[in-house]
Amino acid sequence: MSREEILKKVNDIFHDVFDDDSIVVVEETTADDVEDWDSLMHITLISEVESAFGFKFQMKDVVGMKNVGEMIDIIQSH
Amino acid sequence: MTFTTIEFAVFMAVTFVIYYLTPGKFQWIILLLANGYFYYQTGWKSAFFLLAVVLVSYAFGLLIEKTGQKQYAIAAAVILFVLLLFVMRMPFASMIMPLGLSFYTLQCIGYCIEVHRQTVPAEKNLLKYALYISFFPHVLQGPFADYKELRDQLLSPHRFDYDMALRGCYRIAFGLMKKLVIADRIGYVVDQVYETGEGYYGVTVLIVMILYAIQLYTDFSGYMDMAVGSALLLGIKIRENFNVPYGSKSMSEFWRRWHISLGLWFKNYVFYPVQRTKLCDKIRKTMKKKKNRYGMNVFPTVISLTAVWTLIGLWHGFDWNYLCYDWFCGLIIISAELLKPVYDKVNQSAPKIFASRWMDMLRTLRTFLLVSFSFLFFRPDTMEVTMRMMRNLFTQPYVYQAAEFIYWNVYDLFLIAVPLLILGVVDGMKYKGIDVYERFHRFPAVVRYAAYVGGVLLIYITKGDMSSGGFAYYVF
Repeated sequence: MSREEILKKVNDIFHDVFDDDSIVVVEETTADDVEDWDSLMHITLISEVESAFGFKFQMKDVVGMKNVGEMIDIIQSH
Repeated sequence: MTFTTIEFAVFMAVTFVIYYLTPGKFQWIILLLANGYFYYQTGWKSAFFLLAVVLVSYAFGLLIEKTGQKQYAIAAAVILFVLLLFVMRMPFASMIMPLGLSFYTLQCIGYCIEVHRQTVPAEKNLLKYALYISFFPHVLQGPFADYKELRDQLLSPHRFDYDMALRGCYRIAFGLMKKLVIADRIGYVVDQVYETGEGYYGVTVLIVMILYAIQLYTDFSGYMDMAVGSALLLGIKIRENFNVPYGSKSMSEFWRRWHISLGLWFKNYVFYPVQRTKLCDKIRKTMKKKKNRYGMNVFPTVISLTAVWTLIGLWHGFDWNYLCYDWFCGLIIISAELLKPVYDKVNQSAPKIFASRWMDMLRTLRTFLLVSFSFLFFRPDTMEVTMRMMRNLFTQPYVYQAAEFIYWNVYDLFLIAVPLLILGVVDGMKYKGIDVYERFHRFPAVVRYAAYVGGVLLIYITKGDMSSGGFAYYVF
């Protein structure tokens, strides 16, 4: 899957998790840019990405991921 | 040797001079020696404890790295250190509880977990590892450091940086003012009330409650200012532990601004792991199947927040007062999560009113009062006093007694008025993201020097009894 395709799929997951279709994520998007993306919602987001792409994030990725770009890096590496 | 003593001033000055005279390659050794001297002042038994914890966690670091992703080494390390904390929290151990144990042990656990998660390699050099754990600005009361952030700073050479050192001096001076002038003086006023809580009602309890909130903040954050300032003098940046907590608009925001490094520790090493357990995963999946978006987020959150707040309570001490304090904070945060859909609906019903500045100010006031109220659990020695004060707070206003109380303490309250005003202005600027240091330096030199002289005189004239020495958080 190309980065663009992954980004599109991730964007759909954001719409679903945050219940907001107006969200547009780019590689540089961080938790500060999405209103409800706090540590509580982070895990819901992570597990939705996991079930969509069929793998499990390691704890260091869950904690250390800085932005959507890094999330895509990890998705691509699986 | 606390940060407010002359001994510490001499120690800091001597360390500072030797540190910058030493060639960069060997500076870390000077730091290690300074740490050893600093911590040894707390007694040889404490020093022995620190040494043992450093040695054991160092060995665990190597073992965890060697065994790779296997769980037993990290499990053994965590169990051992939690057990140590547990035993040292028992009443019989209170006499030998070494200063800072509950802080540096958590730091060691954090290090072992990071090695296990492979975010950092295990430290091979025992002395370099000891330097990290025993770094004197954070060894007694935190802030909890992140090994990744601090390691290179501690080991790399530092050349004297005028700007950084001056920032350090400011922070130390500001911390001294918070601790010696505000916190200690408020202590004179409120300590007598908290002893039994008997005979004080309504507005008087409210005043005491608010004063204590200011005391704890200035005491603890004053300590942190001095810790950050001391590290800056050595060219090292440690984490900030406070970010204008009383500007928070909700309890959860308060906990992101108060004792920040503790919150981060529990988020990384308790909250996330509990959220990732099979139980929470299962709940999330079941809720998703039922198309219950609310339950999918909320139930795992409630489970993990309950675990976090119970553990923070136990970390504070095996005492109903601490446990109730932390449960109270947790309960408010969890309720806010549970009621979020209701809040959202209410806020959307009249956006003009609920998004206004006035509403934000009310939220800030409400949060401050809630936090001050929560300290009625934290400060008294027994639940009996806590219950009495809470009851008395609501029985009758008794304004006359409050007026009398202020009258009797007017001298102490008068002395903290100006420092409190300064603190309010500085915190207000910080809240807006203004670099106070940089703004201050835009003033002409003559104004700045007048402020220095005024500041020193103010601290000298209004400071409390220096011999009291201890910081509120030393008990942990």
